[in-house]
Amino acid sequence: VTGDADGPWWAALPPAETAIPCGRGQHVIGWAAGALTGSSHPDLEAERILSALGGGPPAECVQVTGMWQHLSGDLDVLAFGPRHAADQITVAWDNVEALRADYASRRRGRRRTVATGRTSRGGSYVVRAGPGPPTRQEADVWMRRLELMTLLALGPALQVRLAGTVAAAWSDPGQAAARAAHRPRLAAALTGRLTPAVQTWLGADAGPVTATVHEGDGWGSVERASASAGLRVGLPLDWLARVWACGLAVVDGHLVVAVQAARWPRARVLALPRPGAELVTFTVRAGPQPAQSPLAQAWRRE
Amino acid sequence: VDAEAAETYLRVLAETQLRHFRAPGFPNWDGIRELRYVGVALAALGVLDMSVAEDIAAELDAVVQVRVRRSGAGPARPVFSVPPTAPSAPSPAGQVLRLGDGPGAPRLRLLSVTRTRRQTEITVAGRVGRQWTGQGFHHAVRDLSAVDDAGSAFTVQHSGGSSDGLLTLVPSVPAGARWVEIGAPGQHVGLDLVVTALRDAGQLPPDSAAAGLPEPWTSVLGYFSAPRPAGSLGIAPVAIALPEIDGVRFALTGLSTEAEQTTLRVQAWGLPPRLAASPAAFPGLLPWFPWWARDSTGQWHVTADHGSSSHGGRSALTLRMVPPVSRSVTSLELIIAGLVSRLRVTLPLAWQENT
Repeated sequence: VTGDADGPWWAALPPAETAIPCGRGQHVIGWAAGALTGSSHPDLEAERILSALGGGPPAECVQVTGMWQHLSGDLDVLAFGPRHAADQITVAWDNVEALRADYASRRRGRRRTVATGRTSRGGSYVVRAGPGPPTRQEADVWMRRLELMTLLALGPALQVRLAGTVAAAWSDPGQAAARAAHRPRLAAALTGRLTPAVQTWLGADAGPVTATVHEGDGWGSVERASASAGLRVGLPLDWLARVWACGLAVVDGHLVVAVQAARWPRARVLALPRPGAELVTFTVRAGPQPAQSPLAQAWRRE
Repeated sequence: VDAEAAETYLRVLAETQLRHFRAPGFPNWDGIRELRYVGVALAALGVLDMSVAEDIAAELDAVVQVRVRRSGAGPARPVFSVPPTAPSAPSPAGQVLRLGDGPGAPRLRLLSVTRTRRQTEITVAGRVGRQWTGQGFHHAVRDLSAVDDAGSAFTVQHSGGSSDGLLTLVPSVPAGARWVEIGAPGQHVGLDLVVTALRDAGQLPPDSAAAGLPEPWTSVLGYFSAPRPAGSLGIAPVAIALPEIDGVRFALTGLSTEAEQTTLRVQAWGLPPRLAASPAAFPGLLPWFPWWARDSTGQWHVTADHGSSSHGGRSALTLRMVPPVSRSVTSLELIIAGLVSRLRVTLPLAWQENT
């Protein structure tokens, strides 16, 4: 049995949208078919080019879609993003504004000289106080964090879709070397999301979950050495995109290990009823009122 | 434990701490501190770069801050802060370096070592006898040098006065360095940085000469390379008053265990008054901690501070045992090292259901 799936990773996700402050009003940012769009702007790309040519600062919607593209392969998204439905991350737009002001202030930072003198070896020294301007490396980290906070402010529906986008990007077969170089971060990203799912599946006494990113053929493995030894789980990284980000991790008492085919609101999944059991395949259907966060999506077995 | 396994372990531990943040059953959550605790220890063992350990802790700090952000709140410090430099508590050194020969020759006593991510500093106190007729103290400290166990050389810069100075090693001594030798013409002294770093982390197990240090540690770290949960909930109603140690009396009042942690409840009398003033800083900073224990299966455990309160001269402490104690354990040999004495106590454990 393999976990090979047809179609894009987001096939089990419905469109989503949110409103953000842009100019003097609120504009709608939409997500559909794996891409972010500024629904209130007829041609975002043209506005971006116009801004780059000196047409003034880009509109917020233009900035946000640019940040989405910029961070769509950034592992910080998985580090900061939600782990499960109850893991609420609420970033308000005034938080984002405050962070931007803080960032701008720190970039203007200056050191002041507080002392000068000579060392015991005869050299001279100067002691300067204050944080000073950031190094280029620090500025890069800060800028990425600022962009990340801006995208988290889009709300839970888009937070999860962004995490799925990042996981899908890192799951590409051409990224095997990059995955090998970041195994600890990827294992943590997988463990942090799989553990709550396992606790939903088996209960709070399931024990520790040791997750590794499965490479190669097949869907992976779920092993339990003894009743109290916890689980050793190997799943391909695209489980985070195709299964977890679509709210399909646990359905009808089964741990879903792969989505074989999907077209929202239906999906055919490969699932385990319990550790060590035979895999089963069944079709699920999303509830009529999809929740704001896909992680709280109510899927039902058909 | 290789570097990748150590980093994976620490990152997965960060995920566990994040899961416990605001979770029922963790009212005194202090996950970032605990993560730093383990990170420093892994770095001290030379299996993880200190900067990586600190980056992971700083990232958890920022990830938690994102989750407490609310409209109207000011900018969150950790999101844009430069990762802290993992300051370590200074630890005693004690060696004396002679800076010349003859009566009253200058001497430099190495008082303590402080390692940060960027530099290693040694607090020193110099002394020159009245009989000394050679060149002055500041001339003598110009010729100091240092080398670590990998053969890397460092310049040693002295600053401050003759009696209250500081030696700074430039460039920074790598996190994986196990010892460094400070040399003056004709003499040198060695500093064991592993012992230093473990002392800094408050983790030095008792009875551990530098050469034999890894045994409890390999036991603790080995557990995490193949974790075994403690199993279902259980309580061992230990109730024992320990003999006095350095003027302090401890009483053990309960041991409870669950899948991912074991908690030891302790009462204490005679601890320093600063506990009452700053309970959050306790007990990790006190010389009686951490406690080490070896269970009946041979597994070592170390305690981590998990909350405390103080009232009327009595302190109630909650210690988390790392790794958790399995319910298959029938006894614990508890080791408490004080300032001048040491206790070894064997606790028989009779587990009861905790339902």
